[in-house]
Amino acid sequence: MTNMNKGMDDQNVDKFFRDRIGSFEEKGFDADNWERLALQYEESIPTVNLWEQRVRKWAYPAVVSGLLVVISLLLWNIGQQNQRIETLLASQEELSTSQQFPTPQYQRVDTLYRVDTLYYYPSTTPPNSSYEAKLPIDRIQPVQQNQQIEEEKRKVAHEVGERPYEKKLEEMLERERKDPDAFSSDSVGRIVDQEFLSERKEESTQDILKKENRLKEEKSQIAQDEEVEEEKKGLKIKLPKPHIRLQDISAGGGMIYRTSLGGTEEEAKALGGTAHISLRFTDQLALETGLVLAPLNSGIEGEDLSTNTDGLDLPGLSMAQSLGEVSEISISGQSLEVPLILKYYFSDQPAASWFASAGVVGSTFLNQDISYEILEDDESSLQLTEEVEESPWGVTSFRLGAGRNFLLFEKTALSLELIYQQDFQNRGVMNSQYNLLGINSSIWFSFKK
Amino acid sequence: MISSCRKGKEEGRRQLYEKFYGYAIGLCLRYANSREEAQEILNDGFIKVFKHINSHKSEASFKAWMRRIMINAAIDHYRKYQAHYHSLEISYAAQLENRTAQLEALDQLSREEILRMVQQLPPSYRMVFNLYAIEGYSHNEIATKLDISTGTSKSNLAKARMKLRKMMKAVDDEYEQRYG
Repeated sequence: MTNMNKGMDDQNVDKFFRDRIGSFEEKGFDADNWERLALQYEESIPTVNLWEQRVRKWAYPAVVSGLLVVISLLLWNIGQQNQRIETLLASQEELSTSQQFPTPQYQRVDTLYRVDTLYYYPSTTPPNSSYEAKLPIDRIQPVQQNQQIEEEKRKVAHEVGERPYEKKLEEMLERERKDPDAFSSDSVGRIVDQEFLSERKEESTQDILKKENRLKEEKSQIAQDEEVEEEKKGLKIKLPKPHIRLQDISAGGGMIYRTSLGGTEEEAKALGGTAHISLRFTDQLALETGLVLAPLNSGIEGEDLSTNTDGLDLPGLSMAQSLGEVSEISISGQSLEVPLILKYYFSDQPAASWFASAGVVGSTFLNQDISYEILEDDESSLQLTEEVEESPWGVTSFRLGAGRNFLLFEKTALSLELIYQQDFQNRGVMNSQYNLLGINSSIWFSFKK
Repeated sequence: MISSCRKGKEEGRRQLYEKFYGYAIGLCLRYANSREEAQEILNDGFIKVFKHINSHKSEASFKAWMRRIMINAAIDHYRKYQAHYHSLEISYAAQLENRTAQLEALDQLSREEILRMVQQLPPSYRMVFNLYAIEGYSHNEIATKLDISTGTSKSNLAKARMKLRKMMKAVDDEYEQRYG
């Protein structure tokens, strides 16, 4: 073998070493080194408390959901408070109108005319006022006595001449103003029960006073409640009292199908599930939130992923690259999203109305599985998979939508909505951004009609 | 054994270590300049194997899978101590002539002694020589993995071969002097 290295070319040098030590193996094993290895391995395993992990995972959505509920209640209560104020104002207006007492002579004359009418049609005309309703029954004359009534009408006609009725009434009023005694003694005044009118006036005055007192008490109670609320909170901000009405809450669930329109991921097509709750704070405006659980995939292929992965910090990538030529990286994940959407209904019957919606979406990945396709040689390949469990929450997208509700039953509606969702923040291990077009179909239930 | 290791049992890990220690240390010794360094690489490699054992598909050869992990661990180790190695290369060059003189004829060399020749190469030459000549990587792949240019990879390989030839020649010359 002497001189075997003389004239040895590069390939032979390589072959010499490859043959001799390429498959070199030692016999036995080093037990002392096992102790070191076992210790190093234990130290390399992160000891994260499972409970802490869960709390960290759900703390963000819990806080966001809490805030959403508080905001919704505040908006809702503002609406309720406004309604109460409107009711109070209406009552006040009614009160001030009622206070124009005693009844003008015009109304009195009109009442007399109605009484007169009642004489004519006692069986078909319902009473037009409490006054009429309280007329003694014996004053409703049978039709056979029409002659007497006709006689009285003729007397009135004679009194006021042949001019149109309204003018006649005006003249009569004018005359009464000037000379009440003369007027009350004429043929129209005779059928007025002066005693009854007096009672009526008394009753009305009492009613109005009662109503006024009740309104004052209500106002005073509201003011007191607000003061107590301020003292409790130590704030000078006037917060409306919670006033929840079940008919303003509806909940629903359904399916969502989304497909990618662009962004960094083109192959994101998936069917998912949704659960929503909606709080209506005016007839046409509602705040909607809920959960959307849907798969979102991403991936790269067709490039030299053994070298061209700048900027990618994927778990297991370096190991995959060391195993061979990485031909494809695909990531499948379950995305959990919490939308906060403002919905405007084009009619005041939301259960059967067109609507438009806009809002933002917070999201996370519950898990992501990374799969590396590795070419070992021309004929064989192997797959390496890595699982990523933690993904931070973040407000990642805005969402626009339009659709229609169809009333199915008394408290149940079907909703179909076309949605467009565009990410403005990166998501997941791949730092992906999705532009998604989707169809959201859900069934909604109202708690009360 | 592998399934026991997958379940996270320490006994499974120990059995795996015992079974593949010889194979893995043989590989790591080629990439290290001493047994201690080889054991560091081996331990790093085994930790990766234990952590990613669930990624290994049963149809693929476990040995081949582990070999790649060990090579990767050696590359990581080299990258980690690259600056340190650079300062060592001068002293490696100075020691080379004296050591080669002590070698016996190539035919009589054991695997351990041939391994020792590779270990005596400066780290950057040794790494390229191992990856190219023994593992079969291309210069492009080596350049990517070691974060060097392909020119440097080729140059390091040529220098590694030259040094190995020198060592082989020294052994051969000594054999001729002794035995004619």
